Amino acid sequence: MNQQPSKLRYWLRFHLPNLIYLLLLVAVAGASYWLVQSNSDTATTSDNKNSELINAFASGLEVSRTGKNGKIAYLVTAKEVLHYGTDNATVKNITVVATPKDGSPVVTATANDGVWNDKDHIVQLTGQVNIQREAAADSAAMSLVTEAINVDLYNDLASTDLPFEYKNGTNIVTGTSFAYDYGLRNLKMGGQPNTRIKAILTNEVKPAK
Amino acid sequence: AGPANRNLPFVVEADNAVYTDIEQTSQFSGNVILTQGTMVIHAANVETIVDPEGYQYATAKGGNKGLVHFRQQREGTNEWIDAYGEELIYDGKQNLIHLRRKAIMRRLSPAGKLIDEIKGDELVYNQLTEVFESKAVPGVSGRTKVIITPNSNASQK
Repeated sequence: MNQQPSKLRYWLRFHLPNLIYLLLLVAVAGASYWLVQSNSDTATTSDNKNSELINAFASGLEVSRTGKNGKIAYLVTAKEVLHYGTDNATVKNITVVATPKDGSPVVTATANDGVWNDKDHIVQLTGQVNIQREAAADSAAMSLVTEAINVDLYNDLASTDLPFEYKNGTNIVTGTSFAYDYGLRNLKMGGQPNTRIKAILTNEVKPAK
Repeated sequence: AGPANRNLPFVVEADNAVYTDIEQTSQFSGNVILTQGTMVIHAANVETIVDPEGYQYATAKGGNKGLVHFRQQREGTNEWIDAYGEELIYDGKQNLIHLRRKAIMRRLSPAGKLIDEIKGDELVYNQLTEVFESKAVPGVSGRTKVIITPNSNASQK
């Protein structure tokens, strides 16, 4: 009448091997998953280690773009390159010369410091920024002086949110913030809260011929 | 501006300005105040332009209650010309001020007392001769109304 012990003996004889076999299977699967996982992690870290990085140091820099008309659209030069990175260059003593379209007057911007951004061709100029537009047949020479500007060379746009002084012949305008589209040759000034534009327009009457 | 003011520069103050190099025009907007000597113009928008000979022209529009306000001291006196209109045109070459639509021009004594007043559709003030006249505008059935105060001794003080 010993019913109970024979059931246990039956389970040990027939089910235990299957259980052990199952556990072995799970252990092997887990180990291989862990192995595959750790290999792929090491693979990606090695990829990052090898990504392309550029670090260069040079004495001067010149970057120019020739337009579809075969003429130089802009020329950026700097006397000193502090650092040339993957997609930008930090420079000193920078000059940007732009000729937006055929026949339109050349515009030159100079500054103490500059950061050239290769991706979107924007140059940040800081420190005694001076923009000069040479005299044209229809207009006297023009200058804009401020402390910092962004020059978007693709869109012919120089802009700042800082105080500026603008001279055109004998006319003088002072204010805060401007956007100078030197391609279309129009200059938007002002618009910052609590600031005013002040223009002194001289009546420069030329003697009758 | 009278002979003395004529060659003085325009001083324009505004919230915004747009200068168009090719046409040599400047558009000022936002509480615009234009001064030249004793002449002062208040408007919402002013456009200035220079002609090839170098003369300045200005067109002013809008302002307080939709009207441009023009004020100038008469040469050699302490009297003032005070004028309003929906549009004002300053002709720097001929020294004329054109005021159009709801135009009113007043001559005020030094104390600000009304001496003369003229209303019309278009008024023209000659800054050199200091004469203002009313012009009929073709197609506009407006009237001119003039108030002239007798030139008594009292008004001379």
